[in-house]
Amino acid sequence: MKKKRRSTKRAVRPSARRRTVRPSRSRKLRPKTGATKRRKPAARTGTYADYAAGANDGAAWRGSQPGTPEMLREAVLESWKRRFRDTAGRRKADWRLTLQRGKHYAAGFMQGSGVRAAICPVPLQMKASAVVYAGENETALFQTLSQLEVLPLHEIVIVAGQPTESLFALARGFGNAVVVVLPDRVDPDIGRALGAKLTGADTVLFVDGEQPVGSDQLARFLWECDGKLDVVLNDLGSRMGTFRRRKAIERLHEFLNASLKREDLKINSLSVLPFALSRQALDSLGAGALSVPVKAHALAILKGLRIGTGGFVRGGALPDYADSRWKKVAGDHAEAWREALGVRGNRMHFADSTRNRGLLGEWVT
Amino acid sequence: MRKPKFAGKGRKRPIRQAASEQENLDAQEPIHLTGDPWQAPKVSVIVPVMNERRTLRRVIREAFRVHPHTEVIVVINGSTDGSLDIARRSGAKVLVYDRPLGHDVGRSIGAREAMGDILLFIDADMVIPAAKLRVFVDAVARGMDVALNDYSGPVDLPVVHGVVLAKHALNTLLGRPDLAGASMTAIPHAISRRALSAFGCSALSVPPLAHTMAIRHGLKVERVVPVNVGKLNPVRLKRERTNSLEPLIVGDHLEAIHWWLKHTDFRGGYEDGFRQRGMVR
Repeated sequence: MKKKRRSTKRAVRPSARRRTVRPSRSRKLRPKTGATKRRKPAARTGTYADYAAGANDGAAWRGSQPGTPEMLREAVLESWKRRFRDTAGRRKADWRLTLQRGKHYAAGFMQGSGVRAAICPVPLQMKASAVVYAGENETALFQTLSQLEVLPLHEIVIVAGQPTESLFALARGFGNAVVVVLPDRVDPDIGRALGAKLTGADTVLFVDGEQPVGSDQLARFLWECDGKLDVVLNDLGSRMGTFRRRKAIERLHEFLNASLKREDLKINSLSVLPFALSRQALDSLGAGALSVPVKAHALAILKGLRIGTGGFVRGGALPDYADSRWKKVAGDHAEAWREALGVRGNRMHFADSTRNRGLLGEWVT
Repeated sequence: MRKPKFAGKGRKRPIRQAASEQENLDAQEPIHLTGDPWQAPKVSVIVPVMNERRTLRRVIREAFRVHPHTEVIVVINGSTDGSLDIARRSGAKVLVYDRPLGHDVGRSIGAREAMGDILLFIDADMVIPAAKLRVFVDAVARGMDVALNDYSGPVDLPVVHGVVLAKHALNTLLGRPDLAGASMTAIPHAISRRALSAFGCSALSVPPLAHTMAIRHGLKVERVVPVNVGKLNPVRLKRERTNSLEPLIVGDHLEAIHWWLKHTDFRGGYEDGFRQRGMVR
């Protein structure tokens, strides 16, 4: 370690004398690098400015009216959106900075107004909503909805098949919830497809009612979909480990992407929650396509929609070969390839131009 | 471990081995001791050749040693380097085509001429000892239909080669994840006469297709032993850069999936669970 430091030193200052200069210098250098490291987030002053601006705006808002938490949320979002638009500058596509700034602004706003509420301020330009299929787990559903509540969502569509009284009451208890009650339990994919059909928002976030995810993580999906991407996937690819250790189903995801020449999507798939779709995607795929998510994934690629990722979210376990859900996902991949082969031909543009097949005579069909 | 010395560019084998090759050439011993000439051969070894003079002689020698009643069928296509002479002197049956037939088409041509009950497919650029090849033949002799090389390629990587991915994915989709990355694309593999009549000679040109047909027909397809062909295969860096086989072989796998979907229902035979699709259109 020390040796290394010495050699770089020599490279920088060849004239420096060995014995006298170096040991003391190297010791002095250490705190210095620490200092530069700490100075690094230049945005810090920026976010403080956001906090101050928030406090100002909050005080002004509180002066004009009595504030409830719901009104506070709306007010923070509105004024933060305006401020963000005016001050974002070149780094407006930087998600982490945007989220951090928004939080500082909201904190300032609450400080200034004296009203408090949980809030995840994302400066969205378009109207967003969420679709949840409610499973049987009420606790998980409550946690999921609590996380969604703090997001800037126009509505939360909750699809429930044969819900119990308490589950129904729980879902209804959330302010912007629209509860769809079906007489029978349905497949979750069908439930979400139905929910998608019922919302007219520009961005639709699909979340798992059985696997609560933090609002900050979900916010990113909305953010990436807001005028940027059409399909925002859970980025399993960022944590995929080595091929050997991956599950069989992830190999199907990966090969489907590769065969559609989208290797960059790695093992990501629309069959993994959460994901977000733009209005453009919903209109061109049709809500019904979401009944078979893997097929919708292939269709989205075939239609040239803008597909990307919204960060990694740890979700439920993917089905494995021994799993009862295996046949469903494997069959979905068969459907996806059938679709893709229909559009792109027998070899999906991976032509065989070298084989002399004329020589071979008959093929068993 | 000390690395052996290589003589110049593109050479993978140590020089002293090349010298022993020379000795063998001088000996000129007849190597086709296939037993009774009137008896039909038990095993047919098919070797497609395209300019593989360097290893061909040794490959054929090992092939003849697989079984006492063996025929070796060498399919020479587009060779200009004297492979033909080597093959003719070796006692193998030789089929010659002036122009390259295309990847793996030689396997079909060779299989068409084969008379054995068991067909063993190998490549001419890779010398695999007869003892190892024999394991595949023995597996088929004991009732297996397709005896595959248990080799899945390098898989301890985050992103594997496109062909490795394709092999794993196809096996998974066909409901055979236990086969991992084993495939008829890779040599060596042996097949039974029953398998050959099930998928026909032509399909052997598109090995993933034959592989898929075999599984679909319910034939006994298993991995046998690993032969690390990745290590034995000379690294063809130049070809990988200028004319990679990857798209061709990925396309072969898609052609196989296409065939499979044509011969199963719209979900490849997998159940749909309890999805009420009619509810959303």
